[in-house]
Amino acid sequence: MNEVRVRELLQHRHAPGEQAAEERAWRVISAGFAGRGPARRARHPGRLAAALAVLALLVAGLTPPGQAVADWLRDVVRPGRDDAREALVSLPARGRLLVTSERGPWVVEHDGSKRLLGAYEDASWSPQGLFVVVTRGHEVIALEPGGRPRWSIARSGRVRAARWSPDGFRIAYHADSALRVVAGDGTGDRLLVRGVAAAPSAWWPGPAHRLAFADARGRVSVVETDSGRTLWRSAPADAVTGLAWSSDGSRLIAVGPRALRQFDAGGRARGVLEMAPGTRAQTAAFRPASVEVALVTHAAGSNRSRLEVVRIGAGGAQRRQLLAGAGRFGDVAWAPTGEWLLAAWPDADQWVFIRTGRRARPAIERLRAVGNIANQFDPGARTGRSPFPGLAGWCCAPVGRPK
Amino acid sequence: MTAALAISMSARSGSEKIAPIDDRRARRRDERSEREWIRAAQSGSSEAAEALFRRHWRPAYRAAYLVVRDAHAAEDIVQEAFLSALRALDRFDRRRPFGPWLHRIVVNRAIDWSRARALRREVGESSEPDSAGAAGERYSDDVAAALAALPPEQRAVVVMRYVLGYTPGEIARILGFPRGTVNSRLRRGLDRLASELEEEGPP
Repeated sequence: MNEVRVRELLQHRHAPGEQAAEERAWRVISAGFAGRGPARRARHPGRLAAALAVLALLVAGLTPPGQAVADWLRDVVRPGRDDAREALVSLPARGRLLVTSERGPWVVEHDGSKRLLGAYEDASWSPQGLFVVVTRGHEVIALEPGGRPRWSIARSGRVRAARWSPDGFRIAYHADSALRVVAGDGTGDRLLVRGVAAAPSAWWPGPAHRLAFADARGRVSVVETDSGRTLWRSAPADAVTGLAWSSDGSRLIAVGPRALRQFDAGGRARGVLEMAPGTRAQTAAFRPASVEVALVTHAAGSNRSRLEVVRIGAGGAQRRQLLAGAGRFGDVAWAPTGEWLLAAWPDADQWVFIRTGRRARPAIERLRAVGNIANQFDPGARTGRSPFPGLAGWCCAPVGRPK
Repeated sequence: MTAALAISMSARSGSEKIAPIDDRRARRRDERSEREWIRAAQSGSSEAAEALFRRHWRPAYRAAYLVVRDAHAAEDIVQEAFLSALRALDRFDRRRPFGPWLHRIVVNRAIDWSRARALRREVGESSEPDSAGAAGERYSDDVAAALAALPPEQRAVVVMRYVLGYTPGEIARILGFPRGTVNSRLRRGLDRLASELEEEGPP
C-alpha cells in the first residue's frame, strides 16, 4: 500500500456523528469559555498560589465554613482523598474481588492477599465464584480461582466480554461483533446474533436462559438463548455502553453516555434519567437485593465526577450523592451483601470503599480510601505509573473447591 | 501543476516529497488569521474562540475517532482537549500555531484512552448515526477496523500524517518522539494496513 492510497482512504472523509458532536461540544466549550472571562496574565503565579494556600489554611483553622472552603479548594485542584491508606490490606466486606490489570486478572481475597491468574485480558466470575471465565485473543478459557485452566475454546474472531449465566450452564461472549453462547463445560458453542454493540451482555438472574444485549443502534434486546427467540426489543436510542439486571430480575438498566434507561422484565420502559448537558454517564450497577443503582457521571466542563445512588421510578429519579471530586471516576462494584460499594478513582490512583445504608439518609456510614492502586496490581513496573486496573466484580463468600 | 514546490519528507522511503507552494501560502494566511483569533480570544472574545473551535474541531475529531474508534470517546477527548487548551490560552505563545498544540493534547489523550480500553474492553465501538449534512464520504468500516489493528502509537502517527497532514519531522516534534521512530512507525503502520486490507504494497 502506498501513501497515495492511504490518503484516498483517510482524507476528505468524515467520522460518524461529526456534525452533532461539534454542536454539542461547542455548547459545552462556549459555556466554559464564557465563564473564564478576559485574560489577565499573572505576573507572579507562584505568589498567587501561595496566597491562596495561606488563605485556605487560615480560614480552615478558624471556622467550620472555613474548613468547607479548604475542602473545596483541595477538591477542585487535586483528585483523591487525603486520608487514603497506602496499601490495600483487607476488603471491608466478605467476598473476593476480581480485578483486571495490564498483567492480567487478579483475585483479591478478603484479607487483602491477591493472586494473578495469568496473562489474560478480561475476566468475570462464575455465579458462585467457583470459576473465572477469561479471554485472551481468540480464546475463551474457564479457570479455577487458583488460575488452573479447566477448558478453553478458540474462535476465529477477537473474543471478549464473557459472562456466565446465573445457573452456571451457559456462557455468553462476544467474538468480534457477534454474540455467541457456549455451555458452562465448554461444549455446544454457537452463534446467537450478529451486529451487537461492544457493551457486555447481561444474563437475566432468573432460572431461564435469557440474555440482554445492545446493538449498534442503541436497541436493547432480550433473547432466550436456548431457542434463539427474541422476547423483546426496545426502540433505538442513545448508544449503550453497559447493561445490568437488578438481582430480582425485575428491572434492567441500559447505560448510555447521555441517559440511563430502565426497563421492566417484559421490556416496558420504566423511566429514563437524562444527563445534564455536558455530563456523561460512565457506568452504573444495581445494588444487590435492591432497585437502587450506583451511577458514575463525569462533567467535561469542570472535569469533575460524581458517584450517586439513584432510584428511578415512573415519576422521576431520587438521587443521593455519595462522592464527588476532580478528574474521572472509574468502575464501581457492590459487595455481595450490598452494604459496601467500591468506587475506582483512576485520576487519584485510589479505590474508595463506601458503606451506605439502605435508608434515604444518611448516605454514607463509613468511608475508606486506599491509594497506590495501580502499582499494587503491576508490581515491579519499570517506569512511570502503571495503567489503572479495572473492577470485574465483587463475588460471593468463599466456598470449597469444586469437586 | 507548474507552481514552485515546497519540500517535505516522505515517510515510507525517506525520499523528498513535494507539496504545492499555493498550499504554503494558504497555510501562512491561515496562521495569520489564527494569530488574530488567539489574541482576541485571550482578551475574552467568544467569537474568536468559536472561530478557533470551528477551524480545528473536525480534523481533531476525525483524528481522535480514528485512534480510538469510538465516536463518543472521540467527542469527549476533543472536547476536553479544547477546554484544556482554552483554559491555558493565557499562557499560549501567539507566534506558534494553535493546531499542533491542540493535536498533541488530542492524540496523547486518544493514545491513553486506547491503552486503557485495551485493558478494560468495556466501552463500545461507535454506534453514532451518521451526521446529517456531513460533507464527503464516511470512513469505511474496513479502514477503521484495519487502523484499529495497529498499536495505538502507530495508529496515532499514521493519523497525524495522513489525516492531519503533518510531516514526519513535525510529528516527531509534536509528540516528542525521535524522527526515526516516527518514520519506522509510519512504515510499519502502512505495511500492517496493507496486510489488514489485503492490498499489495509497492514492488
